[in-house]
Amino acid sequence: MPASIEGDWRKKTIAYFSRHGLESAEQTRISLFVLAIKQANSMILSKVEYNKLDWTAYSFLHNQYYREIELATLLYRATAWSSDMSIYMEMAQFDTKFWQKTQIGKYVWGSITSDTNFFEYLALSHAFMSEIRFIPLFPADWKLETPFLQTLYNMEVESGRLIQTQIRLLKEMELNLGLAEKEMLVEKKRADVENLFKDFLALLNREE
Amino acid sequence: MPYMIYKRHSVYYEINGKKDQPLIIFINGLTQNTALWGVQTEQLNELGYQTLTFDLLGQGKSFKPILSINFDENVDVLHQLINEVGAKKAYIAGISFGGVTAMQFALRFPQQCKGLIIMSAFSEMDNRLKMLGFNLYQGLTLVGLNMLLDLLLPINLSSQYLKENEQRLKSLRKLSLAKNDLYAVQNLMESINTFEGFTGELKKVKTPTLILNGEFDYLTPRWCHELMRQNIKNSRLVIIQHAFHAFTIEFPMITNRLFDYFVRKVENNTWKGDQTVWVATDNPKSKEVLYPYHGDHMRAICIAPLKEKDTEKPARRPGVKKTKKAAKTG
Repeated sequence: MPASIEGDWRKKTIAYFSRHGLESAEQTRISLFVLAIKQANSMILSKVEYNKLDWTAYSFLHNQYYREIELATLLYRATAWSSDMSIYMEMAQFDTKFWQKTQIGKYVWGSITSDTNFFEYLALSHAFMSEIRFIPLFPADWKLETPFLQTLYNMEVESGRLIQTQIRLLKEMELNLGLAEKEMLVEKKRADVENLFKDFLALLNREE
Repeated sequence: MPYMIYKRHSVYYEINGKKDQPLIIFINGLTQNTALWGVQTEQLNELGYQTLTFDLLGQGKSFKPILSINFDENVDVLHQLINEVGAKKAYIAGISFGGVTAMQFALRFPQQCKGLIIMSAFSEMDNRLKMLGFNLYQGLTLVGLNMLLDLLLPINLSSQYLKENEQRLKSLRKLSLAKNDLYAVQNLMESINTFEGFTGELKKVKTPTLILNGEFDYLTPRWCHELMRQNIKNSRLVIIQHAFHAFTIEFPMITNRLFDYFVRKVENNTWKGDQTVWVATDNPKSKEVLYPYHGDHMRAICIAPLKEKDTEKPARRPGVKKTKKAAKTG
């Protein structure tokens, strides 16, 4: 069954946030989750610096690399970090799950060239930017006036702009694959990320 | 609510109302979703109609293809959906982007189309419409989904409505941001890239057709709907007073009365598709739904014929008193 059919976990999360708000425990978990993704993504994007300047995708990926680092720094600063050490241990374990579930390690080594491996990475980073969105999960009457909420909002808006690189490359990269095969690949990556996000939200609202 | 599987992709739909009653199907505009037909569904069900709303591929709760969306497939999805719910024929109502799909459906599957309601749509694009579309696309891709929604609000709704519904619109905007995905809306917009005008083909539409156009709709203005009126023989054009592009949201009671009027006429075999132009009432409780339009419906101003007396009077600036000389000469 397609993942988009199961939407109850979103409803549960919205209900959780409307009851609990965003205390330091929630902020810490969210930030550690987002930062793990941004750090892994930055590791891969840093390889683009070895590519030639005249490669069309270079300037876009170069820009994305620095924006990811900048956004991660902003999130570090805007988070009300919890003093509960168990949260950090728990999220370190979840970090392992993230590496396993998304198989992101596959893309850390080797150079970036227009091949299937790079196509898969683009599909994965597309899924990170499009699937992992917290703002729609917060109650509609929340004002974005706290540093944490404002930063999350800015990150998600910025992701909307950055994702254009993934969209164009996924659509236009010439590969020895048919459209159906390409679609299968990107849907697989999206499902992986959606499941990861679901697991994270389940961890977040497990008291419920 | 159920899902239909189309080519291994899920399509979300809601069917309401009594079975075996006339079925009205609503096709969403670009950033719409099934929830936005709530008022239509509720009232039309009370009037005894069955309604079907659904999210196109890329919208709301339906599957959102990442790489591309083929515009023609919207028609195939609708065709399969009608079969899925076991209906033989339905009234197909589409707004904006959905209005284009409604017309194409009537061309490809006339046997399943009992009546056609086209709202704020187009069958071809002039340079202005192309540029407006491009600006919306630029807003989406260069700034984001929030920019597209902000650009669409004043296109869709009147100033008065925007003022009176500020809080509600904020919630709707947030809901829209949550339900829509940038890449999916972008794919829907890009699916128009291959769009080719089909005005000439509209002559083949024999289905009873109600064409609705907002008085002040500047995204799809009068000429877009005039082409439909001229080419679809069994049609009537109705102008919705004071309305912009999204009159189903701003004037749901009036549009519901128009849907009811049209479907009843077709069901009773009293529909007169005579290509005439009408104006919808602006009072939801008025006895009459439609008034005949006299004058040039393609113009925004009505020029009255000059009377002899008018030609003799020179124009006088307000606040300037008549001099004796001027008073003498009239």
